Amino acid sequence: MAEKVLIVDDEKEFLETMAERMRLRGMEVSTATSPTEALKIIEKENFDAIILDLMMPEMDGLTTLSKVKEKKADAQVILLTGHATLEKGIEAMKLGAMDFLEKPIDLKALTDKIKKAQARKMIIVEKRTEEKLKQIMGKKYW
Amino acid sequence: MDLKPDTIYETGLRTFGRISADISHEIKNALAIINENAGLMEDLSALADQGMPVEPQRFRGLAANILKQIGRADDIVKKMNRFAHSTDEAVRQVDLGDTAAFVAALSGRLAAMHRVSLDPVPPDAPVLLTAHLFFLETLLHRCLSFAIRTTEPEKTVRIVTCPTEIGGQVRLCGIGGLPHDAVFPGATEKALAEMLKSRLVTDAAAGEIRLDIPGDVTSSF
Repeated sequence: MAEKVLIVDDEKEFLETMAERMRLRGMEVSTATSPTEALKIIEKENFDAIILDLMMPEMDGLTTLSKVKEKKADAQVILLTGHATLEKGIEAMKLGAMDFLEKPIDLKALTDKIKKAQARKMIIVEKRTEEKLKQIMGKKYW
Repeated sequence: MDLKPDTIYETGLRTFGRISADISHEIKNALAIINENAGLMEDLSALADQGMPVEPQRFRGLAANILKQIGRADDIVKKMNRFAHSTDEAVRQVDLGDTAAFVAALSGRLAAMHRVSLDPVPPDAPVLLTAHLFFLETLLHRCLSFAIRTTEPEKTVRIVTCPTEIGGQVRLCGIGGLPHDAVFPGATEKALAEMLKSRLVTDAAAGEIRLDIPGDVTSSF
């Protein structure tokens, strides 16, 4: 199954080129150049992984991350940044980011993280389905 | 002013760090785009090796993107180099209009983050002063940072430089939402202005911050 990915970055050229490379690797890629646009897309669609730039106009990456998590608690977010600091990395992980990568990125490493994100998402969905089934089974009197 | 010189030097160091961090971030962004374009070239070459036709135009476009980003990175590094050399001498001859435009360029990333445009308006002729360049840049950067943070998104802050009887003036105009109470300049900016023998005032009604600098640092108001 193709990994469904959303990339959010205000550097349009970076965004488009990276999206094309990921599509060449068989992924289904959507893009957004601003946090507002990304949040609108996330409301309508589900993604296996969301790749989010940490420094953007309008809203910084950490605020965007919190809002993404508010909308979709199980979203697997990988943060990208131009200047990674340990403090920001720790803050991002506390807010529920799956991982934290520094630009320029190694696409192979990112692809591996996306595959891991997809697997984690599937486990979460499976667990949730299992819990729902248990609840239904518990309520029924056969 | 009761601020110790150490505090002023610490402010200078902090500004130097802030600007350096912004510059390194910009370079990283340019490198990231170069990395993706080179990577895409590699991907397309691999596909071409497997028999998939790839238009030569595609490679030309990617090479052009790389060259553009190299130019961008080179420009950023030149700015970084110029800024680093600001600390070479304490007091020197300074072109005020050029310095104000340069500080605006250094503040470009902060402005972009706040979606504010900066428009430096140079004087008709160079306004030459004898001043402490690094601390003048530090003070102008602090003024611009405040102006950028105070102004609403999509608005423009004009940086107007002109000669005066005593030396030169830099006006930051079009600052929206300037508070009427004395928030700016703060103690640090006042100390810097005093060190530069300059006068720094905020005119909330006009939406302006004005910095008057003497022609020679040894003179005073």
